[in-house]
Amino acid sequence: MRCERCGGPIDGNKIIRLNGVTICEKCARELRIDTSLMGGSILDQAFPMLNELTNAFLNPGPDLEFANTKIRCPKCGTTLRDVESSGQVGCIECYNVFNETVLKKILKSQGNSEYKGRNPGELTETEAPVRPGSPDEEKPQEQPKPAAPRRAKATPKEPTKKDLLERIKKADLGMISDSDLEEAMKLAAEKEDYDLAARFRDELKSRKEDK
Amino acid sequence: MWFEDHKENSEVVLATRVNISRNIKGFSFPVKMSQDEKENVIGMARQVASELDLPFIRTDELDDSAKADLFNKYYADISFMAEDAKTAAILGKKDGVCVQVNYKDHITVESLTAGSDIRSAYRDAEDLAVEFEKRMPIAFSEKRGFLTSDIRNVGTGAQISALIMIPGIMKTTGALSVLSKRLEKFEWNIKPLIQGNDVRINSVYIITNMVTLGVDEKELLDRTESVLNDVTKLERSCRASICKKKSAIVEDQYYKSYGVLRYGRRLELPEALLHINWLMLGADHVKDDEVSLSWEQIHKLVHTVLRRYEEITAKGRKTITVPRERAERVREIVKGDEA
Repeated sequence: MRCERCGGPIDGNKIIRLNGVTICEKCARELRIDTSLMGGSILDQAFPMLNELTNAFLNPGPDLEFANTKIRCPKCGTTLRDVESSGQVGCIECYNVFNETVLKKILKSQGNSEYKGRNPGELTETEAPVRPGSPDEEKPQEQPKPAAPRRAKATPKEPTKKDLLERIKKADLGMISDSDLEEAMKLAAEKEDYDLAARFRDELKSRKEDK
Repeated sequence: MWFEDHKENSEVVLATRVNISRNIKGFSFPVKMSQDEKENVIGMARQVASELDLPFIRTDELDDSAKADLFNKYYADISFMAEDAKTAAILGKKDGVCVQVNYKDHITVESLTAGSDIRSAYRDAEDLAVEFEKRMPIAFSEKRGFLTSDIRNVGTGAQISALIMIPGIMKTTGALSVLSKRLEKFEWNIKPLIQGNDVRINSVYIITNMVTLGVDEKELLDRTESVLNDVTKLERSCRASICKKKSAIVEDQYYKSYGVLRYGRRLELPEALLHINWLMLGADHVKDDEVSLSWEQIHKLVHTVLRRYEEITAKGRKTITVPRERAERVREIVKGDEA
């Protein structure tokens, strides 16, 4: 089971439920919920007041910003604390107002916060890949870990070219193949790094002479 | 009703639900909307419904039986139909498809199906969502995707969940933790539908996808398919193993449960669920020459027991009449084939 606030895993015996939201022990501490009181009617209160005040006096740490009601959306009046406790924003403007505080943190819990879905009005191709259920030897092993597809998607063609240039720049030129060297020369010229391009050109030239 | 069908994997996956949330530019989200703004959004939604030739219903104009109908079909929650909620529902052309207006988001397209056919459920939801997107200025950002009132939903705005009944996993030591770990890998959340410590009845769970950013819809569907297949596979193997190792117990409990559900005159919810668990467990394994109970009947039983508008709104008379009425409905369903 995962924490619905930070997305982290929860130990089976440390599940804390707050207003129908499952959270982990760490988040409960950040939200200043006294877990020893959990289990009674106190469950229905998002912030047990007395407990919160006591904690604020005893431990005025940096986490206090979560209890902040002064950071407020000018359009709809939603406060940072509202967003923290309910996970809900009041309007589109909230996304700008709370972007630097709570949103970044929460969106980060999704791992990759970049949007990759469709645009409004477009349709998704929903046909199943050619596996009606049985050939689950290869695909499920790739799919379970969302991190894997993300990594694969994070290195499309452009970055590999840049990587190639960086790699060759640092490497011993004698170890680089002719084709890579040629490719790197073109890339360096494109980037207007003529000194580097000249180095590669000379290396290629000397190789041809050796042959 | 849509949930009575026996479809692919529906002996484990009772229902699969797709919710696509969309908001209209220029309005606050429902939680912060004024009454006038809500009226405006209702007006815009009514316009789209009439263009698409779909039935449009204002919830403040509904009587109790109409509310019960929406609730029992999973189209609406109680809070959605509260007197001052200023909400509306649009019914899709297909059974199991509807749109909630002014609930958590301005527009929430919901598509439900029995079993695990996520692709058709998603297709139905998206087709309708796209119609709204074409006709309304939608709150969308290139970076964040579709902006929703719940920040955990921003991105695709698509929340996929499934109602699963897993008595086999619950009766097998360690199987639930295997399932939880598997779901975690796919970034899915699992929680019991009914809070409580009684493992014997706690076999109905809701599993939900938690990722709406960093994945496109296609990948989301692929993952969902894998998740639902995994759950079904694990539950089936647990049921088979229990029925093989403890066939005498399963057979005994199956017939006893049938007897209670068929003839009982008062049924509390935990008791009803406990017996349905045994029916599910033994349904494909007990050679029932004397008892004929189809999967369609079992599905109807589960949903009748789990979701009933009349029970939730009963309050005062709960202790006396509800168990009796429940037993009556259950008897009718179990009796079905004999009639």
